[in-house]
Amino acid sequence: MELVRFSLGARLLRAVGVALMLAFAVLPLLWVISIALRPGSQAIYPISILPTSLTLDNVWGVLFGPTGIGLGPYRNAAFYGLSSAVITAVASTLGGYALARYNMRAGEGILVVILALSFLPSASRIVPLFILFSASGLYGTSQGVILAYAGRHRSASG
Amino acid sequence: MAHRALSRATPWLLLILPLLLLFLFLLLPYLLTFYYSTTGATIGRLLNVQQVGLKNFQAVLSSHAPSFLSVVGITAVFTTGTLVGSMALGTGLALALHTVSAGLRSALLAVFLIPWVIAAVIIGYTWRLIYDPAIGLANSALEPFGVAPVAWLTEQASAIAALVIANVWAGYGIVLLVVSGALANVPPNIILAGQVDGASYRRIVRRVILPAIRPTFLLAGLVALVSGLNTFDLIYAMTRGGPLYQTETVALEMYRLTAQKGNVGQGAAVTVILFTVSLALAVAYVIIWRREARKWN
Repeated sequence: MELVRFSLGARLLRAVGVALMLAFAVLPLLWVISIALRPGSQAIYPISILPTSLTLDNVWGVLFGPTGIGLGPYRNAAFYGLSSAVITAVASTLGGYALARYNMRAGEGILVVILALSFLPSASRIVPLFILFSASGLYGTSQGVILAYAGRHRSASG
Repeated sequence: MAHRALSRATPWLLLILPLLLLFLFLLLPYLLTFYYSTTGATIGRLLNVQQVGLKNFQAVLSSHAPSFLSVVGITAVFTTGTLVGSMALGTGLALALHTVSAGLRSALLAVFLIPWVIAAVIIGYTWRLIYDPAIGLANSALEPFGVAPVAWLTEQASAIAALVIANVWAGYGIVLLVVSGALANVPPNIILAGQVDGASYRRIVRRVILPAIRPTFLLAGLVALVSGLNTFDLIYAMTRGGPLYQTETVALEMYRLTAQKGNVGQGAAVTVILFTVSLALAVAYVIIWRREARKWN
């Protein structure tokens, strides 16, 4: 059910606005896909908006070509993502249960501190983590990456 | 007796792991930063460092090429642009979608939230491709109108505008999501009452709907503000702060001083400045959040 009745002009205006926003939302991604799927000879200046032929050569070349990156980076990404997700899930479940189930005097304070700290976005953590990891020898290791992400994402424990 | 002591200790036992993570990877790094901001530490020398008092802050505030003032100015323009852009687009879109049928709304929401789930680095490279002078969408879309190819990211004004647009693209989704949720909780009765009283839709939005979602709206604004202030990966992927520091924000300066110049002390001083501003905003966030939570109870 529609809550408000609009005149035809207002509906048209709304449709145009939403359509423009749709273009803004998806065109950048479509452009990347269209560049990725066209042969190299068509990805040079002057470039046509729509490619005349499609190919998977670029994707194949990146994965398995002579200068390709292979599947290693994807394996790493999955490993880092899953590991930090598991640590986050375990820590958040334990903490969330403790804060919700037990009526602790310090509970609300802890919650507020967790909220405030996790509200500080990642840029201001780059330098601190760099210092900490350099000093502790975690710099450049996969454990360091995983722990940095696990430390970041345990904010949902409320 | 022992049993009771144990049951009192239980929540703390459960909290050991989360609090340990919190301490090691959030609190401790920040404490270290405050310490290092008053030392002459460099990348090669993190131990046995020399105390230099507030010299780092002095050096940062009086630096040339780029001057701290210009870095702050660029950060302010970038943050304001991001804030205004993503709030306007997110809220406008949420209001427009609020008036269509539920089925269409959820389908459109799914599409509009795509940018929000993409990692900032990927967004950065996506938009770099859009602004590419030779094979970018921006230039090839303008070409039919007789516009000669523009080098978007090498001129300060157009580069900052390009960064703002990319960051709005990355950030309007969270505003849309939060405001849509709040709109769904506005009782239809008060909107209908407004209509019965003969108010136009524009007036209903301004006098009924927006006041009803005010706390959420403020929260969304604060989130957009802090994330604009701390944007690092998107700018790093698109311009690296260049050309010649012309798009360097505080977040990038912090990284450049520490990791590229190796001056941990000065980098830490910039971090302390950014941290203090973010913390003030975070405190405002918690206060608003608690006030809103109390309202619902």
